[in-house]
Amino acid sequence: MEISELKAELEKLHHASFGWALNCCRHNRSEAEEVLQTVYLKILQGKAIYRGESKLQTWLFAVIRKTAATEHRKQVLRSLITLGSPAEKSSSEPELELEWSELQRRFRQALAGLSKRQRETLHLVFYQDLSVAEAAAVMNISIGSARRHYERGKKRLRESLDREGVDYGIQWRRKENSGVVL
Amino acid sequence: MEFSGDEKRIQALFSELSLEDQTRAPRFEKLWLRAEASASAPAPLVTRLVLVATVVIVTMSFVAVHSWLSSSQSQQVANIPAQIIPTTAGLRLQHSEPSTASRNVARPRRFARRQTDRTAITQAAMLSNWQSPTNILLNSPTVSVLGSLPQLNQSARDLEQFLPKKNNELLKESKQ
Repeated sequence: MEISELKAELEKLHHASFGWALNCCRHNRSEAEEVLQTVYLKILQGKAIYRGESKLQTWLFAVIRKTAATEHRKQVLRSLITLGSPAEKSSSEPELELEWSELQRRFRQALAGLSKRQRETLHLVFYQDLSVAEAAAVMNISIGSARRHYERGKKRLRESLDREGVDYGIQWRRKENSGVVL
Repeated sequence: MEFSGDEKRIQALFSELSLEDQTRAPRFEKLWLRAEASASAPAPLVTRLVLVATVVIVTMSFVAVHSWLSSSQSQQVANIPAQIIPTTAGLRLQHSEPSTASRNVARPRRFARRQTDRTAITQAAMLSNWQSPTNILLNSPTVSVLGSLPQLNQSARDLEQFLPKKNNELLKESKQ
């Protein structure tokens, strides 16, 4: 695929890619931006080559996931060397948290309570609208494992939301998001 | 993917999250241009420094290994027993030491001479211990017989031992 063609395709997937990068970076916006930029750099330098063996989205998401993991590892190492701030940053910026509604905050908390794999599977299926098989390909695990993470994650999320008393589905939506069909 | 019941509700929550993220997503062009700029930029100074440091470390380790190997070889030479080698090299090594001023100047030359002496010592030791591969053919069990001279009348005396005693006495009597 030509680089101009690839660029056009990447532009179409940009928002979805950013959402996935956010998920991989524990909803840290600046980190997600950096990861996405590194991914584009890898593509430009030919370090990440799309060979058409899978869907472009699946391939791109796998690259983002791997890059985010590498960046996170580097960050942990850097913090260990400098003995400075702890490796885990706060999951999101405080000014953003102020804008979130109570229900949205609870939903994010419930998501944070899941294991990494469960969160990733649910994100890929519900947020990115991928099938479980495609999610498995992105996460580089078997379909069986992905299905197991999906089921367990869904169950835990439901329990967590029930515990929090979130009437999810009706009251949670904001005014500007009235287009969402339940 | 088709959802039903709770799944639809969870998807609604995720859709909300997606909309929230989309409003805050950076522009594609911004990230792409930044990536392009980084791709065309030369390697950062840190990378170059790391490269130079790696080359220096590799060279130094090579030199260290080389010098260690040469020193171990000279130690092997020193292990040869001294009594085997009656050479003048040992005497030459025991020369009186020069003054400290000339010591530094003469060091490389002395080092070279020592090296040649050591080589000569090794070669001399090897030559003195050399044995021909056909040497074993010269040895035989009869070497002692062949290597000694017989005594006068030895054969007659040997014969006397085998002659019967009575006959001898009879012979003496008849003679008388």
